[in-house]
Amino acid sequence: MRDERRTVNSKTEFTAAQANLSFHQLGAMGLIAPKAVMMWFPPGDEAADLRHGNFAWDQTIYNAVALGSLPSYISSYVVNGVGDYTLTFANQVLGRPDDDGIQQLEVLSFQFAMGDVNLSGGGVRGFFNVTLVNPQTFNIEITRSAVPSHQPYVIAVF
Amino acid sequence: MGFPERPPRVAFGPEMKNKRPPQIPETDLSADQVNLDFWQISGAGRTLPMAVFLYDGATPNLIFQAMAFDPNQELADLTIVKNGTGDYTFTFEATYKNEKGQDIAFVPRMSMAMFQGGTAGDKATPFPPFGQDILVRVRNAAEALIDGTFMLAVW
Repeated sequence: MRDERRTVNSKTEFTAAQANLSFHQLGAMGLIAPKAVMMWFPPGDEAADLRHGNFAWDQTIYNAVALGSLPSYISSYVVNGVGDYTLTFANQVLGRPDDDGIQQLEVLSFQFAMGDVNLSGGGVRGFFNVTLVNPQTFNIEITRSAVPSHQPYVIAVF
Repeated sequence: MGFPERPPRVAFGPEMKNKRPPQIPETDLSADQVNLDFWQISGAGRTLPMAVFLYDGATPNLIFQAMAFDPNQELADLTIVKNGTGDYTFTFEATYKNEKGQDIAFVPRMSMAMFQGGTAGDKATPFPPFGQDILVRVRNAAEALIDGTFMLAVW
């Protein structure tokens, strides 16, 4: 952008420099920000659930959502075995509203994920391994001292 | 409504419309550009960490701190207590000021820690947040507590 005329009052006039910096920063943030960050709690003393979930396309922030009540764009969360989980997203989500305020379905796909295990006990190590099975599906494996283990974990998907 | 809150798209107002068709794209900001910006800001605002730290447990020393609600980096260093070798507690304040200077409650919800350098098998592990505290333990391959440098990202 460039200014149509010289800025007279910096407190009331939005300048080209401000717009360009904002666009630059937004563009960068959009590239490096995760599309979603989640904390999952496994079966155990507490019920398995999506303990926390932040999704870039969803205005709701989720806390303690039971597996049977997940947002519709999480197709499934399957506990395959101890420390072995499969997280599957829908291949479409409601995107940005158009000029008429209508949200259209847009393709949802991921390239990779990173995460870590939350351990509540001492003297042990937990390892988190995530595999992108297809653009909507992640398989997560957790071990604790090399043994498969149900552990809470945080995962960011990009 | 800004950080430490994560404003939804609706906090940025309605879908904008052009008062008149943009004539010169270099000088006329269009409604489509503004609406896209608002969507991206609210979306990225949901998933970006609220704070990121780089901490050297050996010295001990907080090497780097960035908090979304402190864009001018005016706040003091976070309270970090070294409880013992490889054992650290990061404590957030109960409130932080937003862009309007209002005190807004903040509670950390989840975090990730990543050991920097070290030997294969060294690992930094954050516990699920407890109140305002995040406990981080650092261990080597033999599972002994060790001091080291790690990055902590907090949501």
